[in-house]
Amino acid sequence: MASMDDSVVFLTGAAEGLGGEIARQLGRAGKRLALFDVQEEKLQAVAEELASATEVLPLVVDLADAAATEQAVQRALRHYGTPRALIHDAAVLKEVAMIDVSFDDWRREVDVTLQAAFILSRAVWPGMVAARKGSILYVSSGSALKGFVKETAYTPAKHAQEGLMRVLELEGREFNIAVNTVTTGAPIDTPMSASHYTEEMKIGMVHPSRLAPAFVFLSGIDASFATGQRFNAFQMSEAMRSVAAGAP
Amino acid sequence: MAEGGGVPRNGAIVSGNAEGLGYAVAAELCRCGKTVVLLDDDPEALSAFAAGVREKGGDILPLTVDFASAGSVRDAAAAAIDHLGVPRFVLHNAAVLTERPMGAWPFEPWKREVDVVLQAAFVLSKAVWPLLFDAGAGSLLYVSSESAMAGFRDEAAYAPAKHGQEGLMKVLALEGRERNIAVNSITPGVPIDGPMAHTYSDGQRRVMVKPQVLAPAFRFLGEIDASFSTGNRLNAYQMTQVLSVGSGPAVGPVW
Repeated sequence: MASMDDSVVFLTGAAEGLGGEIARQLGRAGKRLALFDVQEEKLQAVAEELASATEVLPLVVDLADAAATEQAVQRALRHYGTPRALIHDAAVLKEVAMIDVSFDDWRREVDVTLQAAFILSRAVWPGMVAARKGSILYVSSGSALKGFVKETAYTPAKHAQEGLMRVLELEGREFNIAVNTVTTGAPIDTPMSASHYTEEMKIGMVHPSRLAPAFVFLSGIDASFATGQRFNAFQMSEAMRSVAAGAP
Repeated sequence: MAEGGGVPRNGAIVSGNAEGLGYAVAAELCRCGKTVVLLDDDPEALSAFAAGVREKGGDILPLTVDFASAGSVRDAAAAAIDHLGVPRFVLHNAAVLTERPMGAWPFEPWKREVDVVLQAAFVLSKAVWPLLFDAGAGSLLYVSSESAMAGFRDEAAYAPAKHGQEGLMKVLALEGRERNIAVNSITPGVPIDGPMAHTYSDGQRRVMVKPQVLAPAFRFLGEIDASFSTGNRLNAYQMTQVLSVGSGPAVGPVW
């Protein structure tokens, strides 16, 4: 098995929104990246932007497609070996009531969140077990704990992803693998929020770049720091900013 | 077919893998005069069980289903609706629990285990939803588990699936409220002496009960709508105990 390179991070949903900002800040921090997204042009643009700062492997993949996802993550593993961190940020949210939702749309939303989380984690797991370290992060949501109308797929998928985290944190403990979820902690200005935030929710909305520092930090932890937690990206990032501001 | 222009009457759809809680609930509903469509993945066990229920005068239609196949569940739901009209009660109890560490899960068995719980809950609910919506009454119930609220080692498929099903319950409870559709989940509340007993600790085995003990709670919940309870996680054992008030304990020593 290829050994782990501490500078490598695999990140999904990297073409835009929160994922795009996480990619930028990881890249500037010198992380070598495998970026997964279905949106080819936007992903290429992020990869080109970061090319002068770090090594980037852009992987255009439909994360609802199990075989394609497996293929993409195997390619990333062949290229880099086991990553120090896996961040699963990709998600689809279409607000449709039960009475109207189609099976295919339902399945797609569940698969991008839950199935991809499983396939990607399963793929990096043996290498992290062997290395006795690693950090797996799933982007979570209020929909992982509560139900919301017109979220017949998104809420179950985020609940299920939280359940997967709770299983893997237990199994990962003896191998020092951190498995956590991260909520945004603040309303963020992204393509997903533009489609479903109410005017009220847009009050206090922040740019996703303000949440990205937390992900950079958490990509370097292992279970001895924290595992099985739900982190708040905004609060953690703000705390990091205030520490940096007070530093000599 | 349903009477009164589609008002839900007497019919129930119950899903369950051979034996265990699903059969106990189906038998209880039949004993109380309901018409039951029982979905199961084991044709032999299913037809033997249905024959026994019919001998006692029960009205039951057994249907063999592959719960991991959306098409199979959808076809069975359509056949059940043909038979019952608008169902009054839909119980999704089917589940598979395989214990493996993360590093030992092939993708296909993982997907199957998730689909039996979560996908089947969605497909079954989706099939009856427009009918319950029009009728303005009905009870959807998912069998839940501690694994819907917490993680357990070697449950990389079961715990996410049960978490996901709980999430679906919460969404449908909200969406069904205006049409008086009850959507709840239910935990056994005690270990059940059934097909999953092999996963129990010795302590759990000492207190486990036969699934028949819990059946009255399900019979009761088959009659409710959202005005009684929706969006809740109920406890079958405690509810069974409550239902026995006035007639002495349902289980335990007789005084």
